[in-house]
Formats: sequence, C-alpha cells, structure tokens
Amino acid sequence: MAGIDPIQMSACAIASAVNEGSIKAADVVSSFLQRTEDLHRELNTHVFWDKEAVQNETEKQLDYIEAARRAQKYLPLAGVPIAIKDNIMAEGSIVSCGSKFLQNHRAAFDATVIKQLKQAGAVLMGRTNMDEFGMGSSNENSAFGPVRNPWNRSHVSGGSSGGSAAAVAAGMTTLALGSDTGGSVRQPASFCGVLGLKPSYGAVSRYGLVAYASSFDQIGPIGTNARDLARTFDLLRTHDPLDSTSVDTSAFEKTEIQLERPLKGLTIGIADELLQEGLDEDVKKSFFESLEVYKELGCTIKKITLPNLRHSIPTYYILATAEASSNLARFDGIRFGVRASKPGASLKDLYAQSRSEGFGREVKQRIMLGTYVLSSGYYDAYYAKANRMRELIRRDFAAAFEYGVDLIATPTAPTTAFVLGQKTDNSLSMYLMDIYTIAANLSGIPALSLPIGLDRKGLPIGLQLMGKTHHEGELLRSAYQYEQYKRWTERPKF
Amino acid sequence: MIIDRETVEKVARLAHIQLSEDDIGYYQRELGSILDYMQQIQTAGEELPADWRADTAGVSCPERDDEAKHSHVIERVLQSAPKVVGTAFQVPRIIE
Amino acid sequence: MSSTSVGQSDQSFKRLLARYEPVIGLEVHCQLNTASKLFCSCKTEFGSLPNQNTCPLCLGLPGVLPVINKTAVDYAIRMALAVGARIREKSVFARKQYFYPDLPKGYQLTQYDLPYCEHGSLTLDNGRVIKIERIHMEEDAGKNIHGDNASYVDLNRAGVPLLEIVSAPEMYSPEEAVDYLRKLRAIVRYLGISDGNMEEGSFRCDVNISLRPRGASKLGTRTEIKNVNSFRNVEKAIAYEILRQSDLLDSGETVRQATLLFDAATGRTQMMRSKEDAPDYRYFPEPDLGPLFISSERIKTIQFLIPELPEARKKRFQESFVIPEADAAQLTEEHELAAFFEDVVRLVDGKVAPKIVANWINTEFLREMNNRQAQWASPILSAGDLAELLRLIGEGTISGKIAKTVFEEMIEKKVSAKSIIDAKGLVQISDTGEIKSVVADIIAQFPEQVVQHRAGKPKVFGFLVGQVLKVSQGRFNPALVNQSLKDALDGDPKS
Repeated sequence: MAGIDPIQMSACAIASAVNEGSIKAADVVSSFLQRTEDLHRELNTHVFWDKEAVQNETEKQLDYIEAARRAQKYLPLAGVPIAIKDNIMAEGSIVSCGSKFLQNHRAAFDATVIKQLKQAGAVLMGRTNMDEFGMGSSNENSAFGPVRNPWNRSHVSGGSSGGSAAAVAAGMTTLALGSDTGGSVRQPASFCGVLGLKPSYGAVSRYGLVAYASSFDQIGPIGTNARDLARTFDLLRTHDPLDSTSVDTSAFEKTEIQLERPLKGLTIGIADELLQEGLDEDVKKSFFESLEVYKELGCTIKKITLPNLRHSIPTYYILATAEASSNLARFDGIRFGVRASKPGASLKDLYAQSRSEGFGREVKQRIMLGTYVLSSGYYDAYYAKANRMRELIRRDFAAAFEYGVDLIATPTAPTTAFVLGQKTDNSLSMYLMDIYTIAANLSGIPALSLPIGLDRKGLPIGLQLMGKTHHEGELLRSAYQYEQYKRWTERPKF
Repeated sequence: MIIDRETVEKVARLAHIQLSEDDIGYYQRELGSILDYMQQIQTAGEELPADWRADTAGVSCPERDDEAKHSHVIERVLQSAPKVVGTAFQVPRIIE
Repeated sequence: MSSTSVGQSDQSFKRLLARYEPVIGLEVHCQLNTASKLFCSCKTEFGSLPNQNTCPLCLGLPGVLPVINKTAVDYAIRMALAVGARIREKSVFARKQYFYPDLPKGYQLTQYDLPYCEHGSLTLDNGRVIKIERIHMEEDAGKNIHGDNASYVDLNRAGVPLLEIVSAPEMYSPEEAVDYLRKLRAIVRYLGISDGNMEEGSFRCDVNISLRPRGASKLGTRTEIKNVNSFRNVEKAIAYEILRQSDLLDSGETVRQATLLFDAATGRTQMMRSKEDAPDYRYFPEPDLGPLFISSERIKTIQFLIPELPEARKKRFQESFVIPEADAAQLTEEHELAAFFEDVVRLVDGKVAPKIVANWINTEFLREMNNRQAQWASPILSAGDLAELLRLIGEGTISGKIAKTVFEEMIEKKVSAKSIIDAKGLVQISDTGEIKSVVADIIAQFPEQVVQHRAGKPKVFGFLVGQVLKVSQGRFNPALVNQSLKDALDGDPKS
C-alpha cells in the first residue's frame, strides 16, 4: 500500500491499511492536514481552521489507534479523517453553527456520533462551514462567509452542509458528517459531486446536534463512495438512550454486507409530476440516463404518483420554522454565547440586542416565520394544517411502497450548483431548491444522493434515491452497484 | 402582500428580535411572499379525519430510571458564560 | 376567622358573604420528590451554591435532548389514582414558550391540551365533592434572585418534576379552599410522592376567584392570585380579594380579569398583568418526545401500591376504634401520625381505650412534638414508650395526672416510665386500709365541711377529696378515695 497517496484512498482502504500496519495513521492524518491547510482559504470549507490545534487534538486518537493495532483490535475507520459539520458537539471544540452568536462557544460534551466515530478509530479533521444553524441551501448564510464549490469557485457548494461536502470533494478529508433537515446533506453532496446519506429519522442519535428542526434533523455521512458511506452509517446507527426519538435498530442487518447483492428484482418508482417545471434540462437528461443504468442492473422502473408532494415546501417551511423558532429561544445571551447588551440595558434589551446581533438575516427570518405560524390566530391556519399535510405526504410514500416500489428516484436538486449571490435576495426562489429533498425529511424515510454526471458547465448532477424507513441497505446497495457499473470517478481539479 | 407592518413588529417582539427600519421593510416583503406561497395548503388535507392529531400518532417516548448523576459541566459553562457572579448568571435587574 | 386578617370584623365579613358568593378554583403545583429531575439526571435537592445541580439540559445549552423520568410518571399515576381520576393512555408534552431568565430553554415542557389525567375529585369535611378537572406533569423553572443593581439566575430547581393539579371553580368559601388544600397535601404526603412543604415551595398554590350575587348562576369575572405560600395566606388572599372585588361591584364598577400577586407582608393582592397583556405562549407539541404512553397494566400495578388514604383511614379509625370524627380527622392528617397512633393502640394491648390513646396523642404528644420541632423520623418518644406509660394508667399503677409529669420527664431524660415511677415512688396507692385512715383523719380535721356536705352543699365533697389526695401527694387512686369518702360520710354506720 505504501506509496499510494491517502488523499486518493477510500475510507475502507485507509482503515484496512492502518489496521494491517501498512500505512501509519499519523501519515494519513498529516497528508490531510496539509491538504486542508493548502485549500481551506480558497474554498472557505472550514471554520476556525487551525492546523496546529487540529493536529494536537489528533494525538490522543492516534495513540488509541496505534494501541488498537498493537492489540490487533480491528477498528472499522482506523485512521480515517472525518470533518465535522460545525453544529455537532465535540468536547473542547468551538461549535459555532455558522453563527456569530456561538463564535466563542466551546462544546462541554461530545455528541453521541462523535463518541462512536472516535471509538471506531476515525480522526476528527476540523469543523466545516455551514449555513447558520443549518438554515440555507447554498451556504451563503454562514456568518463566516460562503463555501465555494470545488468544481467552480464562483458557484455555491450547496447547503447547509456545504463545508462538509466541499471538503470531501476537494480531498481535504475522506469523510465528513453533515446534518440534513430538508436536504442539507444530499443537496450539497449533489452540488459537489459526492455521496450523502440522510438516514431514517431516529436511526442516528441527535444527541449533541444543535437542533434546527427537531422532528426533521438527522446526522448523515458524506463520502466519495457507497462502501465508505455504508460502513460509516453502520457504526452511527445505534440506539441512544439520550435521544428519546432514537430507534432501536440493533436487530437490523448491517448495510455494508448487503452491497454486493444483485439489484435484480428491485423496483424503482418515478413520479412524473415531480419532473416538470423548474427542472434543468441537463439534470433531467442525466436523471433518465441513470434510470437506464438501473434497468441494465435488473431493476424495474414503475410510474407512481405522489400527489401531495407538491405541497412539500410550504409544509416544510411552516413546520421546520415553527420548531426552529422554539429551538433557538435558548439563545438569549444569558448562559452561553454572545451577550450584546449596551450599558444600562434592561432584560428585554439584552434579549433583543443579543439576538439581533448574534443571528443573521435568514435565521431571524425563519424565527419570525415560525413565531408567526405558532402565534395565536394563525396556529390552525398554518401549523395545524401543515401537520395534516405532512401526514398526507407520509401516506403518499406509504402508498407507493405498498404498490410494490422499493425505491423512489428523483434528481437531488432541480439544477446544478448556481452562481454565488444569484438567489440571496429572494428567499422563495432559494426555498424552491429543496423541492426534491424535503419530502424525505417530512416523512422520515431515508434518502441518498449519488453523483451521476456533469452538466454542460462541468458541474455535478446528483440522483436522489429514497427508500422505506430503516431500509438504508437498499439505498446504499443501489448506489454501490451504480458505481461499480459506471465507474464514475471524476473529481474536481486543483 | 398579506403581512402588515404591525404584524412584523408584533412577531419580532414575541421573538425578541430588534428590527431596524430597513429590516422591517425587508421582512415584510420576504415574509409576505412566503406566506402568500404557503396559502396553497389552506385547502389541503381535508381527507384526514377531523380528529386526527399529529402529536399522538408518533412512537411513544421511552422512560429512564430515576438515578441522579452529576454532570460536571457547570464549571466550564460558568467560565465561558457572558456574565457570572459567584456561580450565578447575572442579568440586568428584573423589574416585575 | 378570615376577616380579622384584613382588619374587618367577622360580622361585617359575614354580611358581605350574605350578599356575594365567592367562587374559588385552585391550581396547585406540587413538586415530586424523585431523586433526579424530570427530563435530565441532575439531583433534585437544591445545592448550597447556585447552579450546582445542573447539566447541559437544564442549563438550556444547545445540542441536548430530554428523556423522561420513569419514577416521576409512576408518581403522577399514583396521584391520579388517589383522586379517582381518569388516566389518558397517550398524553402529550408541549412547549410553553416565553422568555425569562429562570426558563433556560425559552420554553417550559408541560402538558397542554392532552394532559395525562382528568376528571378526579376530592371530598371536603363538609361532605361536598370538589371536581379535579385535570392533573398534568411539567418541569419547574429555576430561580431569579433580585439584587439592588442586577438579578442572578440559579437553575438548581429548573427541571424538577411538578404536578399541576387544577380544581373546578367549585369552592365557595376561604374555609373550603383551605380544607381542599389540606386534603390534597395530606394525599401527596400519604402517597410519598411529595413532601408537600408550602413554605419551601414544594406545594404552591394559585387561586382563581370571582364573586357573584347570591342566587345568581352566572359566574363573575375572575382574577388569578399567583403563588400563595401557606394555608394562612391562601385564606388571607381570598378574604382580601373578596373584599376588593365586592367593593368594586358595590360601587358599580367591574372586576377586570387579571393576574395578581399576593403580598404576604401587607396581606394585599397587587396587579401583575391584565388580561390584555396575557402572553402568547405559542404552545406546540414537543418534537423531542413522542407521546407518553401509560398502559392499563402499569396502572394496575401502581394501583396495588396505593396506601390507605386519609379519608378511608379516618372512617376506619372512627369505626374500629370508636373515636369521634374530629379526633380521627386529626390523627389521619399525617400518615406518620396515624401509623404512630395505630402502633400505640396495638402496644397498649387493650389495657387502655383507643379514645384515651387518641386524646393523649392529639394533645400531650403532638404539643410536645411541635414544641420540640421533632420529626417523625425521630419522634420525642417511641410508640412503645408511650404505650408503656398509657398502660400504667390503664392498669391503675399511676394516675393520669401523675402520668403527665412522668411523660415530660421521659422526654427530657430519655428513660422509661417505669424507672421514673420506681425512682420517685409515684406508684398509685390502692390500699383501701391506708386510704380509709387518711379519710378518717380528714373528716376529723374538717368537721364544719362535713356538716355542710350533709346539709346538701355539693361543692364540699370535691374539696374533701382534694384534701385526701393532697395528703397522698396525688398517689391515692382517685376512684377509691371517692368511694371511701362517700362511705365514710354518707352512711354505712358499720364502718
């Protein structure tokens, strides 16, 4: 193995080499540290990047990996670098959530996923930039500036996990964690030409994830291939007593061992009504080409209808902002974060000044929207109605799966990565970018984005596959087989 | 535009967010167009039974054993809190 | 009795109540005495320093999630069963949202339109049944401490489990309200789910009150008085509010719906906020917790653990010990007291009537418990010691009067009744020979009184008995002295 650049290796290959002793975890880590050091400014993928500090923090973990190797204890992600979205707690790190409010906030504890990753031998490779509190689809809502797309610096990375997706695409890390509330893992993965998985709601613990919209949020892995994603997902999927919405999935089969199983007999549903207006021609073309690949692989394509999905966006933006307005109430400038009160300020001034200065424009907008839809006189018309619509969307999926469909395919986003600044002055046009991804969060089903090609501008196109709840295995297997068939390995140039 | 200035101000007050004159105009426009778009669900969802509720439909919550533990985070929290006196968080004097 | 507290005579207050009927509802917040908080594992006891019993959850830090305490739910079920209420199979926690420094998350987790419990009731001493509309679980807030220039936030109490118990507006006097509270407090203490301490804030009360002209059926406009922290203050606050509201109505004004604060120092209520300022709490179901599921099996198991409650115990005491209702009521108000009484009755082994045991415990014993501020965990005397003393009375070894001094000495010196009696020679003398000789002496000493007695003057007999007992220093058996004196004075020439 020696001689191969770890930057080019998959997570599984790195783990094997480190476990075998053919490569040193410390060498892997220093390659990626240097790569991040070289590229992070250009792409703005990381927040508070400090090579020395990150390196120092890896020492303990490198000792752990080395001790495991000597004891011949297999670690599934031995020496694998993983960048962490900046809304996931890792003890001692600043966890800013892309917000000025938390620019000095050091995590007092580890998220459950961080504990799991450390135990598996992964090495934390910095904190990635994001839309403030996860609220955005382009990473332009970060208090620390937008992330640039590694394929074209004048285009957005997608969001809100833009830093994570761009860092993986640029080879600054092998894996990254993102969080996905309405597409925040899948859409930037799609824009950056990598894979991203949003697990079923409850599959991965949310303990230690700063909540945006609690009934939608899921942490998910981002990587360059399906096997890496499967392995990471397998170790993140666990029952966590610290998260009351965590599901006991201990009886479920690991997804990595399902990857090689043929797809023959699998039925993929497509809904024509989702493939109409607003869908970019190149994206549409690639989408249908990818379906041909699946036919080749033995899948059946079946037309389905998901009539209520056209209401996904209003439904999502009502419910998610309602939850967000409440989740962000604790940011009051009293116990943590920024206090921006002027001398002589009253308590009310302290709240208003801290929150007005600490939060960015989009976050304030969503807090106000959420406050509005819950306030007296509007609750029934918005919040209650949206809950009913959410149920109908769930039932649409249930009916489709009942009808014999195993997977549902859509493009991940209606377009490829757009130009920076193009949609920042019109919230609604930005919200419409979430049209395909939101439904999986509304209904709690798992969904994955995999790269299927480039548009005529050379920007990546993603295919979204959605599956039955807790059937991530089928998604990952489908992505894996597509990779094996297409051998699409294009990476951005540096 | 279905949201007036007073509503924007009322919502901002409830959310404890201070708005400048420019902000009010911006949010009135943005919230207005979003809420306009959201009107589409007003007529939707009538196929569900009238007494259907989202909050009882979910999986029931687990319960933990009643064991007290010490979390040991308070020292660190106090160190980085905006303003602390002794071990208490300080705020401007509250006038009831 | 209430009216004196606000400087009015009983008479005028009664006249007022003859014209207006107060309609009172109570909301009680009762802290559950679990080991850990409702949604996190922090200790529920209050640390000596602010914020010592806190964690990321009850500090409201970002990134943490609530997990409900099973024992708190069990306790809540006990309470529901004790007041015969209906338990909902699926109840829902909601976020009640407002900004306040003692509310770290910016919302309180409580139950809103689907509480776990509804439709209970409680019977007052006067026989009236008061409906309990609902009981729900919620988390307590922390404390704001007010200084001269700033306020300080202590979150040790934040997240402690509470039951909010809401009565129907069905009480019609301050006395009924206090009786309801006493009964409710007795129940939570019997159940062992709360210490029910009003002064320390583990049993807090908000009062809703309106007035209507006697005979009217329509309710008047109500006000809500927040956080009244003793039975006495509940009575005072209600009495004050009756005066204030009747004054308004009498002068043709209207009562405005408002939330008031009771000031214990002045005995008055003052405006906290009017209905127009009522906050918009924007309740919505807590997405971090699914519905709380309470199975019928669980209810059955807990039903089995419900002890005999004050009302039932009172009835049983009246019937099986043949004691008056008032005695039984006093004995059963605290379950430790009732248990102590039962222990003593068992240990006197029929040598003393339960009525006498009840008298002793309700007067002498409780007085000394209070004087010495003793706790039931270490009472001033054990049930066995008290039973021994009472047995000695019953057996005629000592008189009841002497027993009282022995009782005090037992407490002071921590020694048994027998050893005091032996050491001081306090044993009652029932030797008729000895008694007769003293009786003869006294008759000889007081010939005038003997003549008066024979002439039918009633009080003289008592005087003569007293003289005999005085000579014996209280040790003669009083019954025998009576008999002997009667024999000597009234006949039986043979003697």
